[in-house]
Amino acid sequence: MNQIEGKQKIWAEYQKEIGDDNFFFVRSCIRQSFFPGSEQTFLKIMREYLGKRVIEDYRHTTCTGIGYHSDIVKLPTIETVVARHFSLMAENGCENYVPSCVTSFGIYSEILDTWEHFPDEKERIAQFLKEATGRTLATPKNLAHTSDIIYKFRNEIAAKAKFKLVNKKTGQPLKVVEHIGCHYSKMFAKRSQGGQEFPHVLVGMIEAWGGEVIDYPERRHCCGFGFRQYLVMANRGYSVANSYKKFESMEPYHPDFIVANCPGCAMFMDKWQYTIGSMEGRTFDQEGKGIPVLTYEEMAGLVLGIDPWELGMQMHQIPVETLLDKMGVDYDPDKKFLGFNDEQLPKPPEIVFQRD
Amino acid sequence: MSNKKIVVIGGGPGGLETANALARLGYSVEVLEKEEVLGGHIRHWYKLFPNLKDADEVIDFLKERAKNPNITISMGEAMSEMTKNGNTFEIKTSKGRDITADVVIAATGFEAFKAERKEEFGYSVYNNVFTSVEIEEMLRSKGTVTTREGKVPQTVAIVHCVGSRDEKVGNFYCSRVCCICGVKQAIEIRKLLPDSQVFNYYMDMRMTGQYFEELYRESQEKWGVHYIRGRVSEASQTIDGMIQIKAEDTLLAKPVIKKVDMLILMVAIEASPSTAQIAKQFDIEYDYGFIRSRDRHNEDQYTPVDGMFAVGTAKGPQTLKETLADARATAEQVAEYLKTSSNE
Ligand code: SF4
Repeated sequence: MNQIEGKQKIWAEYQKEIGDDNFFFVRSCIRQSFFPGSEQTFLKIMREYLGKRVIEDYRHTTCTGIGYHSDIVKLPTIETVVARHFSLMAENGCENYVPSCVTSFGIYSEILDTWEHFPDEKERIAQFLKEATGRTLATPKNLAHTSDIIYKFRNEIAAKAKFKLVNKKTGQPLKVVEHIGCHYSKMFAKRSQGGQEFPHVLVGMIEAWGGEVIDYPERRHCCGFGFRQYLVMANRGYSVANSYKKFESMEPYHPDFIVANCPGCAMFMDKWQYTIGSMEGRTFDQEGKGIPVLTYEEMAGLVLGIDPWELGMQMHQIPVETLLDKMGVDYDPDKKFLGFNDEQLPKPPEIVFQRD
Repeated sequence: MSNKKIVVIGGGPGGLETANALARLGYSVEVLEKEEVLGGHIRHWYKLFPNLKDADEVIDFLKERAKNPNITISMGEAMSEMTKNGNTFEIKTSKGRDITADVVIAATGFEAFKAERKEEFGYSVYNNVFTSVEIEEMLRSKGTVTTREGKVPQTVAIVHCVGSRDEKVGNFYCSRVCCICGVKQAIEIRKLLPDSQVFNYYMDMRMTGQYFEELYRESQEKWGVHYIRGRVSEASQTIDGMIQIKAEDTLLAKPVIKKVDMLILMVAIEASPSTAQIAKQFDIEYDYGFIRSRDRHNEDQYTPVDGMFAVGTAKGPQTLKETLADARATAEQVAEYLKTSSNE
């Protein structure tokens, strides 16, 4: 059995149900600052390219996941916050709950599982919800992460593709490193697409759009975020060291870009490359510019031919132009830092990574 | 001696030796074996611990003894369904035969843990990750150990407790035979490939049988096998096709990353589907699908179901030696059962 057959066998065992339409979409706190174009792109793809109904509700709040994972927010509190989110979904006439954040997805999965195994706890939270908000507890029929949704419609996206994940000059598939957020599959493999260790969620997209996935030794290693590694300032060196380990391990495979399905992972793999480049003059690509790090919406958006600056790719710390050039994407460098109404935004200085 | 119908389900060592012993006591026995060959798992085995005797010697011995007019062996015929009807058992076989039996002996054995379930070890994903069963088969067929590409390995890591003592897969129990099997395979590799290095990653070394401890010691003193106390957390493949493992050396209190040519997983003993089927249907499940005996000390060959006996690994992990002793004891208990006036 070769690698692919072995993985296919595992993937076949973890096929999760994903809703088809009528999604209640909830945003991520940190993505809106780090990759503000990605959630908008998700909505655009769903509504304009796939014709799906996606509902948002401005009353949705943080899930408090980061506070929970830093021991600041207690379990009953986060459960009640989540219960309120679910009741907003029901109020909007939806049953398919779609969080954009992997941390939130983990939180929702954990809480649904807790309620399944401890019905008394569910009762208690329903009571808290009633007392605090007057709302009635509802649970989603289907919980899927936004990457699951894009995965589900990957072939429809491929059918509308303007670009492939292929090097236009050489005709070779682009080599892609995929990184899955821990809270997507490591807590509850059954809630993932393709299992715990070799999830299919991003692989499926990459392959459907013509790319080639790299499996490198530190593929499953932490991206470097790990909550406490980063949130406790004294630990940040540890956070960078973890990312460094991954970059070093993927380097010999010459990846063209990295794609992640977790806001923290994409952000840390992007920003820590910049940090390492600035500190050590060290990059892990052949051009000395760093390996672009994409969200899966950005990857889908590029494939669909959406302008990279509309996708928000100017927000990346590692410039994405090397990738755009390889794919043959048409872009206007002068428009990179134009805001709405073509207003010129401040331009960051050009990055040159070199040791002092 | 008795016109009672005795059916042994399973023609592995436990089933065969129970039939052999009963035949010698004068009872007629039918053995149902689902495969076209006798011997159960042991026929895949190369050498046996702790004395490194050829596994074939035991199979040949059992098969020779089974050439007895009192024994009928039905090959390629599995028990598909079994119900109890009053004092008898109604068995439907995979060949569509109906058998009415007075006594049934469940010798339905075990199944090796499917290593794919421990996804983190990359079995079936990375080429050079093997199970202990595959190593036995390789030694039997090739007389040596190579990577899947046919290369002579320089470094080999053996991981203990794969699927045993593991809450994540739901098996808390110890499979009892894999520590010594890891020791045995490490010695075999070192003997065949003196330039190789073999590392056993273990939680604790459980030398549960006589002379096991001696073999463990020999493996270190004579064969230079390395033992690292720590569980392997993950295996992945490097660009040159080697397997990279991550573990913690709990004695040195240090994390370890090691590149090896081969990774061998000591897979657990789990209840076979037939064992689990009988245990469930007759509500005599011990834990994890194995069959419960009537009393662990006093009536360990009986099951709680009157007329049904269980032998060997159908009741849980056992060594071959224990299974053979259990088989002989089972035959004696069946004879005693049949001799009581109500059953004769
Ligand atoms: S015998 Fe050893 S390897 Fe097997 S389960 Fe027990 S401790 Fe683990």
